[in-house]
Amino acid sequence: MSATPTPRAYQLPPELWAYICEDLSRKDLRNLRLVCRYLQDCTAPALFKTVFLKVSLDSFANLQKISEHPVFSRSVRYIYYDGRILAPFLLNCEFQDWRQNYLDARMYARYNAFGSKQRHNVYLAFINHTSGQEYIRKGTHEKEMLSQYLSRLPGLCGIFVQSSEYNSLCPGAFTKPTNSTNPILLKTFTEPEFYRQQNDEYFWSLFEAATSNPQLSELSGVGLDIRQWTLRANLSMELSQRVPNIRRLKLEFSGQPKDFSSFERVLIRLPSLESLRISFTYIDSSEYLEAPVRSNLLNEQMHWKRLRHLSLQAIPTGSQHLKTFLAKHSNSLRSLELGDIIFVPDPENPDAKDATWIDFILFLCDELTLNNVKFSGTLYAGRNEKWTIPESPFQYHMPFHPGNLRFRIEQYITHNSYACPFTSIEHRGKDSSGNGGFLESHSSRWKWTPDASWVLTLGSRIHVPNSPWEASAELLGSI
Amino acid sequence: MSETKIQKLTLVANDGNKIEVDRQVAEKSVLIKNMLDDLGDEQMSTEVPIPNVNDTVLKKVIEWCEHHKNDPAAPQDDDSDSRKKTTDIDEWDQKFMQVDQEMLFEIILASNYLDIKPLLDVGCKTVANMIKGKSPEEIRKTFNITNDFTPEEEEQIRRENEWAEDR
Repeated sequence: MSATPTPRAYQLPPELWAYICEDLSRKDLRNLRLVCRYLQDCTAPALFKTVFLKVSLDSFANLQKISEHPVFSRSVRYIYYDGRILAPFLLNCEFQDWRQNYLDARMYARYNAFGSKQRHNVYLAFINHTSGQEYIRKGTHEKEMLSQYLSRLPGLCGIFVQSSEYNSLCPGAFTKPTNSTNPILLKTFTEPEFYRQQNDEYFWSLFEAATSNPQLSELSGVGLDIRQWTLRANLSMELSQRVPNIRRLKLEFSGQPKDFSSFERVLIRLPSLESLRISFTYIDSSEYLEAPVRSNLLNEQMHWKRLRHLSLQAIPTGSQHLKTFLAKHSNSLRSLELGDIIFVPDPENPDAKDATWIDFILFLCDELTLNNVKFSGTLYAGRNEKWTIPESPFQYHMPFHPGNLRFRIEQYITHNSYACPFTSIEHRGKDSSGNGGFLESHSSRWKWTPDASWVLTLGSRIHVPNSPWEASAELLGSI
Repeated sequence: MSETKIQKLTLVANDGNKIEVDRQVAEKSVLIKNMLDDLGDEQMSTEVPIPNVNDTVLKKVIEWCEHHKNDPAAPQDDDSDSRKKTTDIDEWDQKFMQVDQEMLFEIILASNYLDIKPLLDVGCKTVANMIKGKSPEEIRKTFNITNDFTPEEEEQIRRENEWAEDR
């Protein structure tokens, strides 16, 4: 038996093979596992490192089997839970009704290409699959199963959740129905492009189950409902206390920023945060421009010694407030992303009404040491200022190139040798060369060379009578 | 502060052969760099034994370090979502890695021992590229491996593979 020399590949110890495996897709990993005993053992950690869980009995059964396996259970680091479901309200439909209600025009055309037996199989697969989903969602089934399985995964360090009113990013990414007929056919019909789940139940089930593991360090959810944090104030508080080691937190909420005071109290209790992203889908500026915010997402009590990355999307905040927060984190903070931010009036600091984004940009350069800064969407400062930053280079038919305003601002902040794009001027109107941008606040006047990468629209409160700048400002706003 | 900073080091391979290199080149190895930092220049002998690596492999590794001596140190940041490793290998490295399998695995082992992470990455990616898109039988051929599973074991592995669902 031992006549054949040991293959060279066996020279590498399992941990180096495990490192090689990090470059491989799951398909490649499955093939590598089948090569020989040695590589089978080396490959398992990479293959079972990440579990993609779906709302299906098959998927739950797979997680159970992994959690009961002596080796695989120790390999699991991350769980991605896709909470999307099919249409449970069609579960009791007869075949004819189902066909009329479930299939949209796009699917119907394909569906009609099948024979009657296949058509019926699609219907049965739908019923089977949806019944499974209903079982999981009923009562505390989901929570109990998850608690049981996750308690057997000692290495689990991150959970990621996506769902509710969330468009499929990669079509065909979902679960396969249990009874098999033509798999491609079933895939088409049990994976419509738009899914909807009524609440965040799946997120909370997984979150609660995962907190049995105190080393949990990453928590991520997309399409969540901020109100649930208020409704479950006690639970969220308790859960956050069980996982003091959360380092990376990314929560993307649907809709507008509402009262986040409960959520704020949870944040305070996570001392180890290194990376924080909080986002909402949109923000209605008219609601925030006049009235002071009741609660700030980031407040004076928060100090995360190791916070390196902060990303905020569609958040109202006092400008002084945000400055204080950032200055306090200047030792650790290296990366900042701001999109659709509104500087709201601060009741305790009336001067802040006149805070401009230009002041803020100078502040970022002077007080922080950032390696990465990114602005997006619309930045408001009270009613005075509205800066629009196009999402893509194509939106304004103008390529982003080094030298445009957005690039210069970002380079200036990260200290990459660009001079401040905004020039402070003593007197306006004297220089009537015309084509510049101009902004005046109570304390300073600024001018710059404008372009479509970073567009100012002036609000009603800034009025610049008889000035050549007024015309240019309007021009800028209409680009 | 420092009087005479050592500029040249002599690396001694496990077969006794000595190779002189610039300090900057040798310091691509985190193992050697830490050794220099810990001992300080005064206590440091300019001869550094590398007991786990033979002459041929050590020369090859030094060749890589020479070529990459001016590369910026890899950022330690894991900001935003940029933790993924890059998948492409630059042209010079690709050519450098066109060696027989024994040498390839030796380079990986040496770079792991000497703690030269960028070289380890290039080596591991090269091996990964030899696996990508291949069937189990094709992988066996590539690495000259014999299938040592019983049919029952193979069936069991196939079943377990199913548990690891795709996204």
